[in-house]
Amino acid sequence: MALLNPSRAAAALALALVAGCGDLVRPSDFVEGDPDQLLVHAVLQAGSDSAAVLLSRADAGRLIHGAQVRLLGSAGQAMLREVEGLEPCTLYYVVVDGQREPQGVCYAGAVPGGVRAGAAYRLEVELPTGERASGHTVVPSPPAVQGVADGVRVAAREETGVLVALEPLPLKWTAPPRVGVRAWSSRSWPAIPDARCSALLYRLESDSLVVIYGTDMEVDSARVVPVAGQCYVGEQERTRVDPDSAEVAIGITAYDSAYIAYTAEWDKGIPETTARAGLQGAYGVFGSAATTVRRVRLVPQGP
Amino acid sequence: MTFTPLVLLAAALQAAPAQELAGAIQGTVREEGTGAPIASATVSLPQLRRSVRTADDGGYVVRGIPAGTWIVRATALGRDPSQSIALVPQGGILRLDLHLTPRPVPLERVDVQGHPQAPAPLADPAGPGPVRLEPEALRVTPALAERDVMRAVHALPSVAAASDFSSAPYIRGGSPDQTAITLDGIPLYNPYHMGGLFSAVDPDAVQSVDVLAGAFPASVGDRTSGAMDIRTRDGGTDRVRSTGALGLISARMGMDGPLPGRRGSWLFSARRSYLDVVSKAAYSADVIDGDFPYAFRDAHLKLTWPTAGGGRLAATGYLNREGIRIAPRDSVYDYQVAHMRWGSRAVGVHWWRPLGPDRRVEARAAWSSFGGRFLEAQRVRDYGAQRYLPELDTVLEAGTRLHDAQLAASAAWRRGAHRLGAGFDAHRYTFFQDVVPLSQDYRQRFSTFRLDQVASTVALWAEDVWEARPGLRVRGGVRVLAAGERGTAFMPRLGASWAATPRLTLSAAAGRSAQVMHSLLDPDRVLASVVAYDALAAAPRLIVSDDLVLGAAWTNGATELRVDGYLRRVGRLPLPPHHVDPFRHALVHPDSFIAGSARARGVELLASHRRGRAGVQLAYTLAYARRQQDSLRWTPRFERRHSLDLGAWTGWGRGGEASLRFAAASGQPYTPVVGTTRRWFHDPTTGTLTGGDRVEAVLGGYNSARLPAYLRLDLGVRREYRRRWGTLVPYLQVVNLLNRPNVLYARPERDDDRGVVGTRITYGPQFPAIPTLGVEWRF
Repeated sequence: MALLNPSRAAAALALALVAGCGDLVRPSDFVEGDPDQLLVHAVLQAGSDSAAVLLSRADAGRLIHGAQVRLLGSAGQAMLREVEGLEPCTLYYVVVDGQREPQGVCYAGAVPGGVRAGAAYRLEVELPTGERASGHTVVPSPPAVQGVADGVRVAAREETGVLVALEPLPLKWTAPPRVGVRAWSSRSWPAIPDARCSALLYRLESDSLVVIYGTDMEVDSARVVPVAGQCYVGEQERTRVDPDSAEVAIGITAYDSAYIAYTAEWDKGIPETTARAGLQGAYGVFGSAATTVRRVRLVPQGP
Repeated sequence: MTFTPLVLLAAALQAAPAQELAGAIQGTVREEGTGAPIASATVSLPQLRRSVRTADDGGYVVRGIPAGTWIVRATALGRDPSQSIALVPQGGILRLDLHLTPRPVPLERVDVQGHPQAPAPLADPAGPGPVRLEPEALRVTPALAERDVMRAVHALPSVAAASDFSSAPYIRGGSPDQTAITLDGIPLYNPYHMGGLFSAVDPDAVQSVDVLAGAFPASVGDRTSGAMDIRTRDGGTDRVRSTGALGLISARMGMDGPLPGRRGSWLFSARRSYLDVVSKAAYSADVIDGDFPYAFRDAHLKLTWPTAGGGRLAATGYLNREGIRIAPRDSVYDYQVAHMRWGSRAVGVHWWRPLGPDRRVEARAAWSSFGGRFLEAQRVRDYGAQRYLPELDTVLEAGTRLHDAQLAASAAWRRGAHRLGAGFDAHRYTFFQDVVPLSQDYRQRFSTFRLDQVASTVALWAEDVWEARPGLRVRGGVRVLAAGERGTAFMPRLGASWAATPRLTLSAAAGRSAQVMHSLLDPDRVLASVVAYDALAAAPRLIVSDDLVLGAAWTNGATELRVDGYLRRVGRLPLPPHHVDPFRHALVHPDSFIAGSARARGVELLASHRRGRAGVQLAYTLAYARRQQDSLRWTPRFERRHSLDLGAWTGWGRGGEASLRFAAASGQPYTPVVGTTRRWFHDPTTGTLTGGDRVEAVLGGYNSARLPAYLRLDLGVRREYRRRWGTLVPYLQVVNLLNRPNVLYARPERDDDRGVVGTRITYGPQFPAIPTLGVEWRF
C-alpha cells in the first residue's frame, strides 16, 4: 500500500500542512465597527410633562442634526426639537482639551397630557439620511412605598462631615409585575440650590451593611440606612452639617423590562437583542420609569 | 518454538467433586514482556486432540483431561508458539499460564472467531458494539509527557475533547458527566491530574479500553451518553516483572507477579510527579522566580485469584491524590496561605464463575469517591512589629465530595438459540459541595452555599440475545432504573446485527437510557473546556436519553472499516441559566438549574489498516449537537462539526518505532461581534442620561460563528534496547509540532480609546509546540 511508505506519507502530509498553515491565528485582532451606527437613547418618566431623546452615533463626534423625532401617545403626538446643549438629555459631558465635547444631539419637547403611568408610547425617528428607528414602551406605575413617611426626621450620628442614620429604616414597596425596581438616594440642600451633595443608601444584610449602587432590587423590602455625604458649592467642600442641609431623598424607581434588560452588566460584549432594547433600527434603549420618593431629614445627635 | 520447563503440581490444585475423575487445565495466555492477555489464542493438547480458544481476558479452561502428563501448546497470530508439559491431577484443576513472544506474521487473510467466557462489561452481542482501544494504540499515540489513556481515547470518532488542556471525554454531544468511566468495571470519578492535562491511570497497567457510545445493551448503564471501561491486565503468574517510566513531570513504576503458591497474581503500580521538588530546588538556588507547589500521585493495585469451578475473583484498588500548598515565603510581605487537596479513590471486588458450558454468574461490589478541600487563609498582622504572625485567619473554605457505593450481580445462560441474561445494579450516591466565605471581603464575593444530597438507584435488567439464524443476532431487553423521588425510568433496549457477508456486518440498536446525576458546571463557560474536574449532584428528576444507532463494519483481516450513524435526544437535562457571556458567570452553578434538552446526530467513520510493523488509523466525525432551554437553542461550545484524526505508525530498524497523529477539526462555536454601541443609562436622581463614553461590542447570535479550524500534528519516536536484564525504551514526543496557535476562545475587550470605533478581540491559545522525552523500562 503506497500510503504506508513512511517517506511518501510524510511528504504528502508536510505538503498538506504547509498549504494549510497560511492563516495562522494572531493573538489579538481588531474588528472595526461601523462609526455611523445610529444610537437612540430615551427613558420616559411618569409624571413628567416633557420627553428627551439623545441621538448619537457609535463615533460620538458624528452629530445628527435635522432629524424628525416624534413621540406618539394616546393623548396625541409630540414633535421633539433639536435643542442647544445636551441638558434635557444629560448633564454628563466629556471635556477634551478644556472644551466640552458633544456626545450626541438632544431632541426634547412637551408631551401632550404629560407622561402617564400605564400609557403606551411610540417613538419614531427619521434622519435626513433616510435612516429610521422606532420604539415602543409602556410606562410603569410608580411603586407604592411603605415604612418610611415622607419628611420624617431621623436621628443620625456625625462622622467627619457625613451623617449616618442611627437606626435602619424598614422600607417596603410594591411594584407592578414585569418591571424592575431600583433603590437610590440623593442629597439636596434646599437653602443652597447650587450645592452638589452626595448621598448613599445601605441595605442591612444580617450583620453587614451593603451599599446599594442602584442595582436591581429583587426583593420587596429592605432595612436601609441613609447616609448624607459631603456637599460642594463650586469647588468648595462644605462640611458644616446642620439639619437643613441633610435632606436625603430615598427613591424607589420602577423601570420597564426593556430598560432593565438593557442595563444588565456585560463584561465582554452585549447581546444584540439587549443592545436594542425597546427599539428597532438602532442600538440604544427606549424605556420608561416611574419613581416614588421619600424625603428624610437626618438630624445629628449630640455626642 | 519455545519449550518451558516442567510445570509442577505446586501450581494451584483445587478439589473437584468426587464423581469427577478427569481433571482440567485452566490459565491465561499472555504476551511475553508486557504480560498483556492474548484473546483468541489457541490452547491445544495434541495428544488428546483437544483445543480451546482463549477469551477476551486471555483466559481458557480445558476440561475432561485424564490425570497424567500432557503437552500443552499455545498458538496465536503474530506470536511464536509456546509449549509446556502439564501434570494433571486426578479430579483436580491445574493452573497453567502460557507466554507467547510477539512475532509479526504477514498473512493474506485470517478469520478468527472467539468464544468469550467472561465478556467485557460493555460487550454488545447484537448491535454496533463498543470500539476497543488496544495497548498498541496506546503505545503509538504521541502524547504530552507520557502515554495517556484518555488522550488516546480521543482518537476514536465518538469521543471529542473540549480543548488541548482537558482530557475529559465528550461523547456524541454529551458532556463528561454523561459518560461513565470505569476501571475494571468500578466507577471512577475525575480520574485526572493537573486539571485534566493528564489522565490518572497507569498506561502500563491498561490492557484495553472499550468505548460504547450509546444505544447500550440492557446490562449497561446508567449514563446517557457513553460508557468507557478501562480494563487492566492481570499480573503474571510465572515470575515477577517490572515496568516503569521516567518522564519530565513524573515517574511511575509497576510490578506484578504471582501470589504465593502461584494461586493468582498481583499487580501494583504507582506514580508521582516531581515538579514541586524540582521547582523548589530551583527556586532555592535562585534559578527561577518562584516554585510550583503542586504534586500528584496515583496508585493501582489488582489481585486476581482463580476460584472453584473455573471462576475468578479480582480485587482492584485505585488512588489518585493531588494538592497545592501555598505558604508565605517571608513574614514581612507575604501573608497568603492556600491549601488545596483533592483526588479520587476506588476499591472493588469482582467475582465470576461459569456454571457449566452455558451458564455464568458474576457479582461486583465497589466503592468509589472523589473529594477535595480548599482552604484560603491570611496570616495575622502584627502591626507593631510590621510583620505577619504564624497564626492564620481563614477567609474561605470550600469542599466537594462524591461517594458511590455499588452492588451488582448478574447471571447469563443459554437455552437453544437464546442467550439470556438478567441482573441488578444498585448504587447509593452521596453528593456534598460547600462554599463558606468567612471574611467580610469574601462574603461580598462569594455566597455561602451548601449542597448535601443522597440518591439511591436500583436498576433491574433482563435481556435475550437470539441467534435467529446463522449470522443474524437480535437482542431485546429492558432496564428499569428506580431512583425514588427522582422517578423511575423504563428503558427498552433493542439491537440486531447481521453478517451480510463473511466480511460485512450490519447492525442497528435503539434504546433509552437514564441517569440520576448531573454536572454543576456550566459547559459553555470557557473554563469548563480547560478544567476536566466535574462537580456532580443529583438531578431533580432522572435525565432520559433516546438513542438510535445504525452501523456497518467491514474487515478483510488487515483492514477494518466501521461506519456508525446516530441520533440522540436527551430530555430533562438540567442546564444552568443561559448566559451569553462565557467569561463572566461562575463556572459552578450550585443551584438555579432549569430543565432543558439536547439533541445530537452524526456520522462516524473509523478505518484502520495494519501491515507488518506499520499501521494507519483514520477517524472522521460529522456531528451536530444542539441544546435547548425554553425557546432558546444553541450549539454547545464543545461541538466540532467536522473532525478528522489520522494516526500512523511504523517500525524502523531494530526495535525503533515512529508514530504521528494528525488532527484537524472545525473551530468550536463562539459568539461573534457584530457591531459597536455606546450605552447611556438613566440617572433617577436627575432624570437624565449618564454614561455613553465607552465603546462596547455588540454580540451576534449565541455561538453562531466558529473559531478558526483546529489543526495539530504530534510526533513520537521510541526505540527499544533489549538487554539480558530487561528492556529500555527512550522516547521523544512533540505535541503540536507545527506550533500552530489553535484557538480556544475569542474574547472581545472593551476599548476605551475614544477615537476608535471597534472591538479588540483576544484569542486564547491552546498547546504550543511541546517536546517531551523520557524513558520506559520493563524487566
